Amino acid sequence: MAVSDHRQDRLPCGAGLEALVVQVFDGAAPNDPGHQADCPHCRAALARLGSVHHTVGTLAAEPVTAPPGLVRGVMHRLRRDEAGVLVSADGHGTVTITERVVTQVAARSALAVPEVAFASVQLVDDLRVAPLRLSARLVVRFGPSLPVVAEAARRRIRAAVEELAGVPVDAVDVLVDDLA
Amino acid sequence: MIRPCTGLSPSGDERRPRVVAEVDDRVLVRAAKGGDLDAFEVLLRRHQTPVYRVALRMLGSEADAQDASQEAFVQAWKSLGGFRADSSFATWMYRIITNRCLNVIATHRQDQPLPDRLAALAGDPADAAESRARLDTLLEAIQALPDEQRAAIVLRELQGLTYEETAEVLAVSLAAVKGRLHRARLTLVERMAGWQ
Repeated sequence: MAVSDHRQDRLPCGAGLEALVVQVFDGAAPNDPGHQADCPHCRAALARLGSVHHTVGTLAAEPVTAPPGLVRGVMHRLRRDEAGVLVSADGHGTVTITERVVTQVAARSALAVPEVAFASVQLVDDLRVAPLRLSARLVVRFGPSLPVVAEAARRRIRAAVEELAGVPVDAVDVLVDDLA
Repeated sequence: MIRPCTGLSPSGDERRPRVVAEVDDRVLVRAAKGGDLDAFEVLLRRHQTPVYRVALRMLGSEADAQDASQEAFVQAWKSLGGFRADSSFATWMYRIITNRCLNVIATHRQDQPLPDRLAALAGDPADAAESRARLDTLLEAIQALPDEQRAAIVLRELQGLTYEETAEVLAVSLAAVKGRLHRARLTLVERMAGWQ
């Protein structure tokens, strides 16, 4: 068969095998269409290459979806160890909140500003050391004054964290990272 | 392409208000590099399907592909500090999952049966069975390729990456990618000889 030995680089008619492969798999123009039209070796090789290329295309088009729980499993592993801050301790027990909850509250409070499309908030220092210093990364919708939006987000973040954690906030650094 | 995406809480509740429809991958990566796990989770949900798909085609096993994908994402989180902005997150994840799959292949043989994913083929049952068998033969042929050729075929032919993207993911030259693909394609033609 014309393509039975891929160590050969030419068909019996002299046509280059690599060119035929590129022609079929990459849609390249034939080097010698006139020869190909009449050559049984080229036509047989093109037919075999075309058949496999078609099957590859069918396989490529086959739908594949990630299994449910894949991302959840990853996030469970990554969130296993989270720092927390003791909010209160008395005879009834203790209340502790995690760093992630603090930053979630901060981010959601920033999202309450209509011009903020996305917010990511991180603690700059150790959660257990008050007052807290936070760093907020924002994506802001184009239009309004950016300093005004940043200041509004800062005020909301400070108020929300102080009310939730009962820990004073020293400062909130705001970075406008992108425009939506 | 930025797709509408709603950040999800660990419990899978899709009503969480943190909407990130307008946020580019680059912003999420920068947030994740700063320690934001929620931003990283959004990136995972955007890229889980192509990552899993590469693993499935490389390893031929849904269980192994899920394990490899999960390990690749954990590795990505731990390696975010080394991620450079000159490469896209998608390309970076392709590189991580491809290398992980190559390690899996190198350390143990895959002997699980190929799962039947072709039940949706319409038409005559005999035609459907023949189509299934043809695709399974192709999958087996891909699994039998040398590791580097298998990776090139999966990325280029099944995942649709360009030659340049494939070379970038595999960290080899364009000429090397073309050489691997040429040898792999001809080998597949040989293995599929019974289906001509």
